[in-house]
Amino acid sequence: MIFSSEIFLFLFLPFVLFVYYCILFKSRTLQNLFLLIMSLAFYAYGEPWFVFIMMASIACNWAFGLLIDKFRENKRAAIAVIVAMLGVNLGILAYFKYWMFILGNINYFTGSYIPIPKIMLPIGISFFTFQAISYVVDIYRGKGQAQKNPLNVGLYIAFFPQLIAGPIVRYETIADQIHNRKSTFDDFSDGVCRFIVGLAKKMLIANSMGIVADAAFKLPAGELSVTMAWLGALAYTFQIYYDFSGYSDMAIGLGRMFGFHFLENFNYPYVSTSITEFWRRWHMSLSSFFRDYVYIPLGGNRVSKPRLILNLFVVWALTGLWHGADWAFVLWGLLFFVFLVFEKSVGFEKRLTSRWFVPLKYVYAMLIVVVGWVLFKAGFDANQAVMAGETANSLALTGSYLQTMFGLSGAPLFDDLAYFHWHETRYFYLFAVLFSFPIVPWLVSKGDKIKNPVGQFLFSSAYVLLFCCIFIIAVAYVVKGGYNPFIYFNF
Amino acid sequence: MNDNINTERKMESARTYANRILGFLFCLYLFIVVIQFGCSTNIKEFYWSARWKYEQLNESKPNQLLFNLAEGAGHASNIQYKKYRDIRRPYIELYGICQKHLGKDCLLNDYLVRLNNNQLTFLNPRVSDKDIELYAQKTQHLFNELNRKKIPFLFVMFPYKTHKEAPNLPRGVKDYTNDNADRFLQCLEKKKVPFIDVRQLYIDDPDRHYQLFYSGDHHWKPEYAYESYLYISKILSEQKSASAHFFSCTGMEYKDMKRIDCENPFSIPSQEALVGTSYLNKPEKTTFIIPKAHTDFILECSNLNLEKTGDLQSVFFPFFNPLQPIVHIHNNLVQNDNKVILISDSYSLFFIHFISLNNHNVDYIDPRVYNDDLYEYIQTTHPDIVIFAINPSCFLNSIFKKF
Repeated sequence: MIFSSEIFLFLFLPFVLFVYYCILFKSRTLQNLFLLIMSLAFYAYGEPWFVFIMMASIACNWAFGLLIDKFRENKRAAIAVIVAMLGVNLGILAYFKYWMFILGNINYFTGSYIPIPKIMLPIGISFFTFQAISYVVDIYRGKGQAQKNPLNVGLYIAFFPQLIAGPIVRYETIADQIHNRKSTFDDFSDGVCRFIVGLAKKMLIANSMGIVADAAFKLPAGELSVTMAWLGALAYTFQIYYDFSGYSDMAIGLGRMFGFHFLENFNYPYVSTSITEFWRRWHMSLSSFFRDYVYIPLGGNRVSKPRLILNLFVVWALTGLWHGADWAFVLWGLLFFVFLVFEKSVGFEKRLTSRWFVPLKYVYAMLIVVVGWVLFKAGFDANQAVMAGETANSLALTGSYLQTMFGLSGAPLFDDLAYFHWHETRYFYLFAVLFSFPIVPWLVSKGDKIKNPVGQFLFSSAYVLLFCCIFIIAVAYVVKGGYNPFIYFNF
Repeated sequence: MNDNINTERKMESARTYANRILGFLFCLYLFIVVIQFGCSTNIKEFYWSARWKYEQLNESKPNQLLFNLAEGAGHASNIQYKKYRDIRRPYIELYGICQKHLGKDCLLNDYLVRLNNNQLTFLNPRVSDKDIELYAQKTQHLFNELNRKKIPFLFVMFPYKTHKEAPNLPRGVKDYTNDNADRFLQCLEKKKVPFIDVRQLYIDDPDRHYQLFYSGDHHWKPEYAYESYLYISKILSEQKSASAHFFSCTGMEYKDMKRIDCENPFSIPSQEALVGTSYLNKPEKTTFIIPKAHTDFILECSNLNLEKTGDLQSVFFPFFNPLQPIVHIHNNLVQNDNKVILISDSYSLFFIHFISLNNHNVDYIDPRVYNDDLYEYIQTTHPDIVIFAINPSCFLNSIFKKF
C-alpha cells in the first residue's frame, strides 16, 4: 500500500486514526499493538508472503536484543551476538537483494553458467533491515533498553509510516517514544500539514517529472537529442528529490499524527555548493547511519590518511550498493567518494569562501549530482529490467546518455520530443526549481514576523486556504490514478 | 525583552492556530469522505462477489486458502470501487481543470492526449514486428480452418480516432496505432487473407472522420458504423465476393433509414471519465440510424441473463454493456437462414444491428472475454460466414488469444 493511494487515504488512514484515538485512547499498550497489526496489514497488502520474512526478522532481532542485554557484562559474548545478528540481517538482505547480482557476476567473470533464480525483492527490505541492526547495536551501545515485549520491537521495525521507504529511524531516537510519547492535537495538526506537503511534492511535482525522465531514459541512444537528454536528467534529479523527500515528509507527518517524532531526512540538498554539503542535506538518516555504524567503527577520521581514504571508500561503495544490486549504483557511490576525497584533501569548503565563487561552486556541485543521478537512473532501470527477466547494461546506457548530454554523440541539439516535454512540464520545472530552495520556510518566517492582529489573521487564513487547495488538488491527482511509483520502494 | 518573548509567543500561536484549523478540517474531510464511501458500499454485494471469486479460485487452487481469500476480497473491492465514480467525479474534473490551465495536452502520462482539434485520444505504442506477424499468423490460421470447412471469412479493420493521414497530434507526440494496423494488413495481404480496411473510407476527408468520433470517447458514432457498413457492402460487391450477400444493402439505403437524435449512449465516456469534461467543447448528441420499416428482433445475452424482443430500437438501445462473451441476435423478419459469427470488440456495438438487418442469426463474440473454445463453437454452429472485425488499438489487448 502506498500513501498516495485512495485506499490509504480514504480507508486505511481514517480507520487507523479512528480506532487509535477514539477507541484505544486509554491504553498505550493496546494502541501500540493496534499500530503493529495495522503496520503488518499495510505491508501485507502489497507483499502478502514477505510479511512473514519481516516477522521472522522482528522475532530474531528481539531475541538478539535480549541476548545483548543478558551479556551486557560479557563483552565477548555480546560481540558474538552482534556478529550473529549481522549475519542474519545481512544474510537476508544479501539473499533477496544481491544473490542474483552475485551469481550474474560469477557467470560473467568466470564464464560459468550457474542458473540464476528469479528472486523477488521484498519492498523496503533495506530500510527495515537497517532499523533492525540499529535496534540491536543501540542496545549494545547502551543507547536504548532492550524491549522485553516482541510487539514493541515489531512496532519499531514495522511501524507503517517509515516501514517501506524510511527515513531510517534509529532505535535511540524513538526507544523512549514507544511507551512514553504524548499525542497532542498540536502534534497531530503539525503532522497533517507535513503530510499534505509530502503528498503534494509526490503527486504534483515528482510524478510529472517522472514522466519526462522515463521518456528520456527509455529512448534508444540514436533518438535522443541533447536538449531531451538534459530535460530527462534534470527531470530525474527533481523526481528523485520530490519523490523521496515527499515520502519522508509524509512519513514524518504520519508519525507525528500518532505522537512519534522522527528526525529529518532532507534539508534542501539542491542548495548545496559542495558534495560534502550535499550529503549533509540528502538522505540524512542513511548518511548518518553509515557514519555511526560503519565509518566511525572503522576508525572514522582519526586514522592515517591512507586508512581514511580506505574507510571512505568502504562507506561509499556500501552506500552505492545499498541502493541496488548493480555496478551502476556502486559507481554512483564511488563517484561521490572521489569528489568527497577531493574536497577533503583540498579543503574545498574552507577555500573559495568569497560570495563571488558561490555560483561557480553551486554549478560544480549540481553538475556532479546530476551526472550521478544519470548513473543512478541507469542502475535503477537495469534493476527493473532484470526483475522483468530482461537484460540491461546500465554502464553502457550511462555512457551513451552522458555522451548525448554533453554533445559528444552527434545527436541533434533539439527535437520535437524535447519541445513537447518542455511545453508540457514547463510549469512543473519552475515549481521544482522554486521549491528546491527554502522559499517556504522563508515565507513562513516572514509571516511569523507580522505583528498586527489583522495581518496575522490574513496570514493564517491564507496559510489554511493554501494548504486546503494543495491538498484537494493533490487528492485529485491521486484519484485520477496513473503514474505513481515511489522510487525508494525498490531499495 | 519580555515584550519580545510575548510577541514571539503570539506570533507562534497564530501559525499553531492555523495548523489546528487544518488538523480539524483534515479530520472533517476524512469523516465526510468515509461516510460518502460507506453509504455507497453494498456490504451484501461485497460479500457475495468475494465469495463467488473465492469459490471459483478454490476449485482450481484449493490449497491456496489465504491467497484465494485475498483475491476474493480484492475482486469484491474492485466491483465496489467502480461504484464510487460519482464520489470521484469532482476530483477528476478538478484534475482536468488543473491540467488544462497548466497548458497540458498530454493528460494522462503518455496514454491520453488532446488532439489539435480538442478531441481526446488514446495513444498506443509500437507493437513489435514479431507480435504483428504472430497475430497475422493466428488470423491466417482461423482463415485456413474455416477454408477447410468451406466457410467464408472476412477480416475488417475499423477506423481509429487518430486519422491515418491527418493525426492532429500535438507536436512531438507519436502514436503507432495506425502504423500497427498497416503492418498487420500488409502481413494479411502476403498471407492472402481477405480483408477490408474501413480506414480508407474517409482517408481524404479527415474532418468528416473526426466528426464521426466522440470527442471524449474512443468509440465511433453510429453514423460512422452505418457508413462503414455501406462501404464494406460496396467493396464486396465490386469485388464480386461470395461474402457480399451478408452485407446486403437492400432496405438500407439512406432513403430507407431514419435518424433519431438522443443523448450520448455512454454513461461514462472512456476518455472523459479519465480527465473530466473541461477539455470538451459541449455535450455531444448521438444520431442513431434505423430503418423506417418495421423490424422484429430477439437479443439474448446469457452472461447478463438478458433476453429482449421487439423492434430494433427497443432491442438494441440502450446498448447492453460491452465486454460480453457472446450475444445472440435473431431477426424474425428476414427470409434467409444466414448464420453469421461476428468476432469483434466494442466498436461493433454500433455495427452489429446493421449486419442483423439482413441476416437471420448473428452471434457476436468478444474474444477478450470469451473463454470457451472458439473453434469448437464454429464447428458446432457451422456458420455461413465468420467476420473478424477490430479497431487498430486491439493489437495491445488479448483479442488474439483465442485463435
